[in-house]
Amino acid sequence: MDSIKLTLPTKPEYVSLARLTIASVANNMGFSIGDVEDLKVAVSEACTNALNHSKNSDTTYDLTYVVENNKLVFTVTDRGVGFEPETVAKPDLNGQQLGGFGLFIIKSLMDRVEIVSERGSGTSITMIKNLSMTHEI
Amino acid sequence: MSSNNIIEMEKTSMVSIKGEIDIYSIEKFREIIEERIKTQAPEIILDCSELSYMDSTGMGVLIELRNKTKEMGQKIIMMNPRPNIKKLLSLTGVDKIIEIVDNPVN
Repeated sequence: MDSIKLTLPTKPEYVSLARLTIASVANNMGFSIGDVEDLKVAVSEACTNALNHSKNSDTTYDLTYVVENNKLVFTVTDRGVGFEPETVAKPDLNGQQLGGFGLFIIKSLMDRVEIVSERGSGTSITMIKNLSMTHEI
Repeated sequence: MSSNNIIEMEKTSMVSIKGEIDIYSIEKFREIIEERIKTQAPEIILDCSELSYMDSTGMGVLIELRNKTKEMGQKIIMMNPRPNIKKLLSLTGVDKIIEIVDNPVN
């Protein structure tokens, strides 16, 4: 079981770095092209949340990948303002409520998602994607 | 993210969106579309053939601008989005409120 940890500045220009690294790790593990795209979106959404919740742009957040035999476990941990996941409203396309899309997308694309958040001290989102047994060549 | 090939027709304003739309490039994307809205063309076509990545940040702005253009009688159309982007548009239901067309002739 390998573990990789990155600490990124809470600046928008480095979110693409999270996508590049997860694509590399997932490709090496044998994830399909479609799954790699889903992983890129999930990590990017979690990083975007970390940025939006950060108190200022001089802070950092952590990204951890744990490579297991048949799954990729990755966690985005910020030291931001925190939130209550259960209070995130369902997105409404026709109204003004456009927040909450990120979490909805993450939950839809990943096999398992765990969120731990505390007001004032930050949020940690752990996402798990199982390696599909059908291999593409 | 960059855009070029702005083609103006009588009824349609077409803009080619290239690269990635995320939290970093979103303001540039918003500016490009808002500029197109100002032309008052009834249809604003976003050629997404070379758009490789978009997430909820991009979709949020798209919906916001769609709601704005709707009030002004204009319409935003996405042309040729790639399968990964189409999947997200469908997952979130954005494809129900923004017209998506596949046009083989570029």
